[in-house]
Amino acid sequence: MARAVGYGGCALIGGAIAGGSTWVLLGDLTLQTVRRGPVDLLPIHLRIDPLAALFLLLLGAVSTAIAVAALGYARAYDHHGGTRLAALFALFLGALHLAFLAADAFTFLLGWELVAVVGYFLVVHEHEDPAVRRAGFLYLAMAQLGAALVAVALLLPAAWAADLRFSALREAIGHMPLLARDLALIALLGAVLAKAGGAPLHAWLPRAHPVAPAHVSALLSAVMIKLGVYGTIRLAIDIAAAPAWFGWALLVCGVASALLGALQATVDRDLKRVLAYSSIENVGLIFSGVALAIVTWHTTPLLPGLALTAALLHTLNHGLVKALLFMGAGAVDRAVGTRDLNRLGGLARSMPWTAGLFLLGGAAIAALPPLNLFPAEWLLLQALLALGASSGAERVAAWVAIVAIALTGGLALAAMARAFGITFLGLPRERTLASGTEAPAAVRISLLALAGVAVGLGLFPGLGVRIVAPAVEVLGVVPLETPLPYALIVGDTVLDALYGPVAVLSVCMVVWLLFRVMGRVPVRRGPVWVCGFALQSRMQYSGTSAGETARLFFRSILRTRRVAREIWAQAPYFPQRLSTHAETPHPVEATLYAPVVSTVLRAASAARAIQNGNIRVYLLYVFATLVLLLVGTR
Amino acid sequence: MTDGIVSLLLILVAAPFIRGLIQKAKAFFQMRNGPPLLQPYADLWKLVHKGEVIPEPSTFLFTALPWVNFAATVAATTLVPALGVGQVGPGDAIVFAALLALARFALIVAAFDGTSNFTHMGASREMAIGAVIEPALIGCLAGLAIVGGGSGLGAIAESRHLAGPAAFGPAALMILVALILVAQAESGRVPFDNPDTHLELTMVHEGMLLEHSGRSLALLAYAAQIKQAALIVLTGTLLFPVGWGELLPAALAWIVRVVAIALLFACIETANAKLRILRVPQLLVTATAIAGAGVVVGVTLGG
Repeated sequence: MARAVGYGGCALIGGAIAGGSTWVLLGDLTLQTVRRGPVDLLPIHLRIDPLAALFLLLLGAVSTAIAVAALGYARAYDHHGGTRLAALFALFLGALHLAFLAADAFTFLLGWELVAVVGYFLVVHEHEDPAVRRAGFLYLAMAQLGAALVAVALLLPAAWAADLRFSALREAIGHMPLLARDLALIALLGAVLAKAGGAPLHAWLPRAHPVAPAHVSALLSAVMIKLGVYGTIRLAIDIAAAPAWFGWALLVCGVASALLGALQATVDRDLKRVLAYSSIENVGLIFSGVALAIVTWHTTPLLPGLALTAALLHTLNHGLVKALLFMGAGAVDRAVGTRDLNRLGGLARSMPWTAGLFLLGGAAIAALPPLNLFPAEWLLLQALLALGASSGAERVAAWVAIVAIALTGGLALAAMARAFGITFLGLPRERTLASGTEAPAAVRISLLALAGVAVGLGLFPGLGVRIVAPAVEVLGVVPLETPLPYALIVGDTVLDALYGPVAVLSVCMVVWLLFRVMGRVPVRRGPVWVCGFALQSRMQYSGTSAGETARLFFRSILRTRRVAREIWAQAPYFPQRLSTHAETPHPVEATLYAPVVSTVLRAASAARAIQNGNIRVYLLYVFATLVLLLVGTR
Repeated sequence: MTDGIVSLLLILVAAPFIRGLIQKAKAFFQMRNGPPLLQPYADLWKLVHKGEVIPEPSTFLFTALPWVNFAATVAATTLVPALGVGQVGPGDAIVFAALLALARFALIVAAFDGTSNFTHMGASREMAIGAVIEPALIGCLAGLAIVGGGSGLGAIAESRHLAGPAAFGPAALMILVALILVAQAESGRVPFDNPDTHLELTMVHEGMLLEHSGRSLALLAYAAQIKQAALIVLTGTLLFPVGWGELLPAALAWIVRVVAIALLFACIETANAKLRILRVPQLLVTATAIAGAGVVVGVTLGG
């Protein structure tokens, strides 16, 4: 009951929001309102312009699809805090709305923080498992770090502003000292990287996304991390008109996230973690587009529009496809009770719908034509090529970025082919694995709708560009013009657009007709050739072995450690049992996080020295503080 | 567009012949007779008339994806400029690479559907090698665009044609050397992969096809030949943008270029052994680095 009301309501509201924001977007409107806040001094300013409307459209569309799927998927939580989960889900959507609609620093901070805290409770829904609690704690720590940084980024300029409205902050940026502005921008960079899961502040994402219920991870990956993208565009471009160095820093972080994410996705063995790493990769590509716009903001007239179109198109399309993939992975998890790529296999036979739609989503997320993420990646590469055609050292930087993004594309293809091939094809890697049943009807409907949109926006990329154009225009740059909805990539005229597909179709038709003319040949099923033995499921490649070649290629980055343990009986010649275990420490964590964590712990234990449990000493502290305050305030 | 259609038909017809030519030339260097020049056509003809055996655990993807692989390869081929006759189409370099990636994706998934350790091994290797080929290919094409101007394949070829002798500056030459290496890697030739072997320790592409038979195998084999022909034509066109404009000299130049590059491939294959699989990315990274050095030279010196 709670499930039907909660998710049904979310679906209806999401649909309404999507409709309303499309109306704002296509009408190129800007609406605003002021409400009395919790404190009289802090009124809540809400404002919707095409940029906010675009993110609300993403939120509305994706939350509708996810809520419909959750009607079926969340059945398993009916006797496991289902009401709480549905309520938090709705509250989370509300918090995201608040953050996207905010038009002053206080409201934005409120929305940002609410998203972080409610997100935490959603992530730790299955808190009986200590692994879930640990992942949730890391998520909360990073989210709080991000919230603290965004507070610095917003409140520093506020010291020079008349009030907290964004318009006032925009004026304050002009006459505040450069040092303070740069400090605020550095804080902003940290905040958005932590929120969006960009390198090097992405450690929480691959841990928190897999442990959350699938419809929550879908929402986290599809929309919540995009709040970081929205924050970058709203605060760095719209308000701060960030200088080029900010763009270069963001570009480096973006490209690094894309590469690291794609690489980890190629070798990880948890299906949902593969998708989480793929989100890091895609966020990196989006940040690269935004960064390119910032870099060229003050120099070239057309490039920022092209790069921003690419980034926003990527944001929209990635949200749709990632929701599909996470719900598909959730259906697999629900059907057989594991997400381990070393145990899964052969699910296409029992779950044909989920398999087919997951394959489509996987091909889309690998930016393959003719699906919806390809136009976005194509635009990003075109923007980089255009930068390469300019002058100066930027041309070399553009080439390096192009190569890095192409490598990301190749790795993403590998990751998705492997995730799909291992999960859905072949035989189960573990003989005792349940055969699984098809996902509930609600999930299938939702996946089908998302896949339909993915194909539609892939075949007609001009439609996506038109949806995004007002949001680019409102920032004051020239958006991309598309003469025809389908003729974005293939040329400008109908003839150009039709030539390729018609040529390919006619060649395939000719081959097919030739096959028909030559008559039917016998087609039969036969055993697999395994050198004369009988096929066993252990003969296939597992998830780990399928990614092994790629892991070896990149072994200088992915430093896998193998630990072999031998358990001896009595003599040292006949080991009773052998166990081997391999783990790949996260490339950034070992070098960057470990020193920070150990420093914090050491500082904490040093600070514990003043806590000796003696109440007289504590009274002395109170007295000393009081004296200090009195002296200080005099 | 005329350019595209003529070029596509030429490649479709000549693709098996180019493979036969390389085999014949290799046999000549090895003092063998080798198979007849037209053997690849006969092989395709034979496969089309054979029955098909589908592995028991496979899904419908096993026979459907060879069509996707074939269609994507043909689609990529439509973008290859060859003759400069009529209007040179947009022939976008990134779409070209992406369509080859789509073909590779279809092939890898079909190999996972093969459910044998050989097909899975081929898939695992192809995934990893493909991930390194893609940046090398796009790096070469983008490098040519940055150094020589023009963003589409047709436009790059045309601007190289118009540049005359200036098209052979140090920057462009470095990138073209890298492109030859990439074309070999992408079409699965020695030293990256060996199309003439079925030895499980070495095979990549052939490993993936091991469970396919009959018409599915004919489609996959023909697609591989088309891809190799398209890459040879593309490399040749970018290397020697001469004989541009009128049909007869253009067709003559086309034939000379294709034969020259095919013979070059045969020479390289005869003189080199296949690399160990872990050495493959090193050679590809070297190729990318040469292209990158070419870009740096082009940006600093111009040309």
